[in-house]
Amino acid sequence: MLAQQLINGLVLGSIYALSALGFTLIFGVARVVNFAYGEFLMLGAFLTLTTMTVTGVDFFIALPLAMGMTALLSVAAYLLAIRPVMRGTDLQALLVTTGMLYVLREVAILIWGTAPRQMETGLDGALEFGDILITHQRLLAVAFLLIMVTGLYALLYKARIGRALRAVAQNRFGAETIGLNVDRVISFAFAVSGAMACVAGSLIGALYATEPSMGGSPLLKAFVIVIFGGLGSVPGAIVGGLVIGLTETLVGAYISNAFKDVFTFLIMLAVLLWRPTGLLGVRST
Amino acid sequence: MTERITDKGAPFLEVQGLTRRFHGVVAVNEVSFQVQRGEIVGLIGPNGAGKTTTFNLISGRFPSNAGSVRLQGQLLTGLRPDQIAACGIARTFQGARVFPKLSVAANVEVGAMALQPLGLWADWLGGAQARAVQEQARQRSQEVLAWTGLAELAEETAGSLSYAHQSLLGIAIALALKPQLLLLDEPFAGMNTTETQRAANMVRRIRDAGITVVLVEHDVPSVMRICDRIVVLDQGSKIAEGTPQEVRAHERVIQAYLGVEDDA
Amino acid sequence: MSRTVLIGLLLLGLLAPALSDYQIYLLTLTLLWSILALSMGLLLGYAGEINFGQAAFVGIAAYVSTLLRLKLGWSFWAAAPVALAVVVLCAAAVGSITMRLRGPFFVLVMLAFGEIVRLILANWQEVTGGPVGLRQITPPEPVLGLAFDTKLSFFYLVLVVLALSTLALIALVRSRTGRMFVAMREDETLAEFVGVGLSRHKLIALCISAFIAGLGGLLMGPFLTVLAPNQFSIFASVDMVVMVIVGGIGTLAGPLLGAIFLIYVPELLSFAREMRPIMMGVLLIVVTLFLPGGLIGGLLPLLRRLGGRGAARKEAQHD
Repeated sequence: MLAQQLINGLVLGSIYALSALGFTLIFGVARVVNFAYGEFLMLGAFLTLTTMTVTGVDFFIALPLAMGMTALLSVAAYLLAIRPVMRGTDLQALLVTTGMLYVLREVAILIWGTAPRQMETGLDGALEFGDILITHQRLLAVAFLLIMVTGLYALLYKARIGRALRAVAQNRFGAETIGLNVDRVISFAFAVSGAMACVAGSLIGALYATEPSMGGSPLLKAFVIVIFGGLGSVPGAIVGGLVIGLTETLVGAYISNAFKDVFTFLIMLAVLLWRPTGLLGVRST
Repeated sequence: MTERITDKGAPFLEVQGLTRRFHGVVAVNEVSFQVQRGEIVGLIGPNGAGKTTTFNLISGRFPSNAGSVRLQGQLLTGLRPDQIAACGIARTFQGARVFPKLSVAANVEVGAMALQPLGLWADWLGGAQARAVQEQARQRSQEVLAWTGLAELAEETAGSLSYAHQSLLGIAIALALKPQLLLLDEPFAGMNTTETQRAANMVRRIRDAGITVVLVEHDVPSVMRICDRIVVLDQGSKIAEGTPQEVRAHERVIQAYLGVEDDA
Repeated sequence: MSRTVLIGLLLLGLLAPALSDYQIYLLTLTLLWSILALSMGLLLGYAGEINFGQAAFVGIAAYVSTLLRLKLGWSFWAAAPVALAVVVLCAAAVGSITMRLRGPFFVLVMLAFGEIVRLILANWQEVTGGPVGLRQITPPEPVLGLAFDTKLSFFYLVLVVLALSTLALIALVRSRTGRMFVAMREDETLAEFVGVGLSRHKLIALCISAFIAGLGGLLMGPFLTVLAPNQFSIFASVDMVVMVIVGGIGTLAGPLLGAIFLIYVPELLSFAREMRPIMMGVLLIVVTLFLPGGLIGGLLPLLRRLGGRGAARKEAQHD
């Protein structure tokens, strides 16, 4: 039983970590808390679903297409609504992204309605190790996390644009001085973030359900994770996601299912009391 | 201002072994110096010498990694900026910080009333004590504005002032606290010769009024003219200390400034 | 501007007996939300903090007072101070944790606080009735010869609470503490260096704000006759934020204007319920990008032309 819960926790943790990656990337590079991030997850899921229903392709073909579309939407959101307020106060960015949250959610309701939809990945079957059961679909969560993290690290540390991303994340004004086009770098970060949101959202949509209000919970979890792991820290998001996923599953199984979310939040508060910048936080001077 | 039990034998301001590291770089390295009451001391050095960081450490903006700062024997390191202000230290900021949407008079009033003892309820209910605090602040503000020559601008919005005036307002706000020690961060920055002259005279008048002054500046000639003593930093460490004449002739100081020009 | 608000409320009070039941209902709802928006306005506009968990304070007051009445048979007037005390204690507790947090961390912790409260309300079945909540909440019992069981009399109660809250905040804004809030809002660093204790003042602002939100919470139960956890979600807090921003941040009249604009006007114009969220979202974006002063920011130039420059600036200084 415990082993099963641990596996479930790791799977859930992978989903959470995936959800938090794009969010933490944006904060790390642009110092923006993107309240609308959950909605990009949701839109990504719907775009995958719609691509599948309209063109009849498989989940794994629709996903990259949807990733591209979500990336574009993310950049558009940055250019239209977020960039104008980036030199302003933190409050303004928060307000604008909150406004986007409402708008994107309502647009989704208008287009797709409120009824939850199912998404087929085509993966049936499961792995069995004695008492432990993992469906292939749930393994997908772990697989996606590994792929995304590998991809992200390759991007950040092997690609040229990756160096630019890291430079802007460390010191935006310094990066400007050495001639980096910060605007383009941040746009790229938003694009990548959007693509990752699409992956996370599509996964959640496939494993659970796709509906316009699905972005709220991942957003909240992403907040908790990045605080736990440190705003702007990719390893922090991964560790945070896995820890939160495990904690939630174990608390839910052995202590109380109803209050497991409360526990998660309380743990986050405890971490913050001890380390105000999160466990592996990026200290911004 | 509340009288603190102080060590009368100790120097007025004592900075001892002050150190601050940022991301592995040592910005301020074991800096020590003393300031006597009534002096004007200048802190100079080439770019990146750690002057403003030292200021920030003294005024409590960042915590130090090592070392101590004492005012008349009282330990200041580890205190919050508002606590340090209550000890009698006021400062200005590079780039002239003011409260932009408030009037010039209101700006100075904030400085005048922030440290006054007044309980929340007495304040909220608006009784005699509360009214007295605000009235005293108004008077103090008028005093300081007259003294700094900003009286005509009293009703102007602070954000609409010229840079030089905002800089002066920053000093006025700091003076409103009735400080014993005033830290001026680049008071002459962005000023032309006339403005610098006027500001320099003001610094002297501040000292003559009984306030000890420590200033950070890039305008070395002005510093040489008005400071009693000068501390020179380079790359985080103190390389010289003494009267303007002593410092001007000091080999390491000449090297530090000339060296920068050679590399550039 | 705030004096105008009080005059407006007075006029409203005089007009009320002539209005229809529906108008009274709508106005009561608007005034109730004005109280909530006012609480957010203090925090957001004066202390410069955004609290997405504000609805939790409303909910705590609402539930504590209602539970004391329903389960222990207390009178509304006995339960009210207890509920308010609980709210302020919670605010002080959370505030002391969040005091040392800056920027996004404060926002996220307050958000988490809000969610924790909502989750407890939704899951503690035995006490709070779970997701279904509490029902059949009666109006406040008569006191001092006044009864509150009609729509009109309850309206007057809400009106008086709003007026008193506004008066209290006008006094606060003009006090030394209030001026320190404004200083903090203008430039937090400079304020700290002239002697303003940031943490202490933010805590004070949070507690007062929570108290006023609690007043709104007390009145919600009897007004709606039912209480459910989903009324106290993050979205309720965001509603309050939008009202403050649209009405005019940094003023006391702004939140009221925002409430009128976001509750009264849409109902009056029979806006479809579905359009409200998208309208809120668009307003939030548009106002933040193009009209940072909100409606008041737009009205002040008008005031200037009507009352002369000095009068308008004096109003602006004191608000």
